[in-house]
Amino acid sequence: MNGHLIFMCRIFSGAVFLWMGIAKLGIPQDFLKAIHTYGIFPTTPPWGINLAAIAIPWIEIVGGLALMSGIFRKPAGLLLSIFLATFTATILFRTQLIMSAEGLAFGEVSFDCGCGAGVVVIWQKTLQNTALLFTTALCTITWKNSVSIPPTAPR
Amino acid sequence: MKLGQALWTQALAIAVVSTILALLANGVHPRGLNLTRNYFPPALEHPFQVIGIEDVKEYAQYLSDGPGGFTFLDARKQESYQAEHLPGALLCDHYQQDRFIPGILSRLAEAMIIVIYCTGGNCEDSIFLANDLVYQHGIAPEVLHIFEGGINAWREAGLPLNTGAKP
Repeated sequence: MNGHLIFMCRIFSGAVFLWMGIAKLGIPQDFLKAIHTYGIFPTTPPWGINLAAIAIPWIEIVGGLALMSGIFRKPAGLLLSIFLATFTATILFRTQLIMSAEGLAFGEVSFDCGCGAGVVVIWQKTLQNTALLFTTALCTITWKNSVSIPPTAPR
Repeated sequence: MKLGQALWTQALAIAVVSTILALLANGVHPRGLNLTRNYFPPALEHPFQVIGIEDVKEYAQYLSDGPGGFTFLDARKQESYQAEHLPGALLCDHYQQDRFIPGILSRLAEAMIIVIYCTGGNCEDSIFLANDLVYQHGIAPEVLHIFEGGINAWREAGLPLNTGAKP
């Protein structure tokens, strides 16, 4: 696999996760409310959903930094890929519920997905997440453990 | 250790380290979450009366500055309150109750009618706050009224709104 391609993938995906994690830090209650709307975390006992709201932004920040620096790139890519796949699935599940309840087409659905960017158009968000998942997966499955600078091209 | 197993172990280690960092940061965050507090009280058959825009308009005429009488309570976050709120409404962010309740509890305890609102639509913060006022702060449920349409309905009706930190 082209080392430059992997380098660009991890810088791009790392920066996106870093930005999304930082965006969620300002008002933790907003992110807590957002993940509550998905209904995937039970509220009793409350520590589960509260811990998720506290920890997820930091997992994105640390994972993003790991991807960008190249240190623990592959486990960070694995972790973020799992997160991204799970969140995308829950976004699509909620989208399905909204489509059924409000009689909307997929292209018409938009809501605050809790991703740190406010209200988003879901088909666009799904495309973004798919592209991001591709880059994080690429960082994980490529065996070459490139460091923080692109490897020198073979002469 | 096999390569795949090591990868999973390292991924788990990143998650654990991140969680420890998160808990430390949450401890010093001015709006940090309380790990053991249930911010979403169970959906009870709540005894609160649900009212609409016409009732709220009428109640607004009787708002009082001191204890007793009618009180409006804004359950949204501080930034939203400062951007716009119902004239005379007190701020009580449901998620930051510990900051706001002590300063207004005596007034709430003496109020005849407390109208609680949030954004409207799918917003449930007014109901969550009402639950906590009853079950944690001893406010009588019959005085609590939920303004179903919330600030969106008030704005759409073309009624005046206040801005800033003061009611």
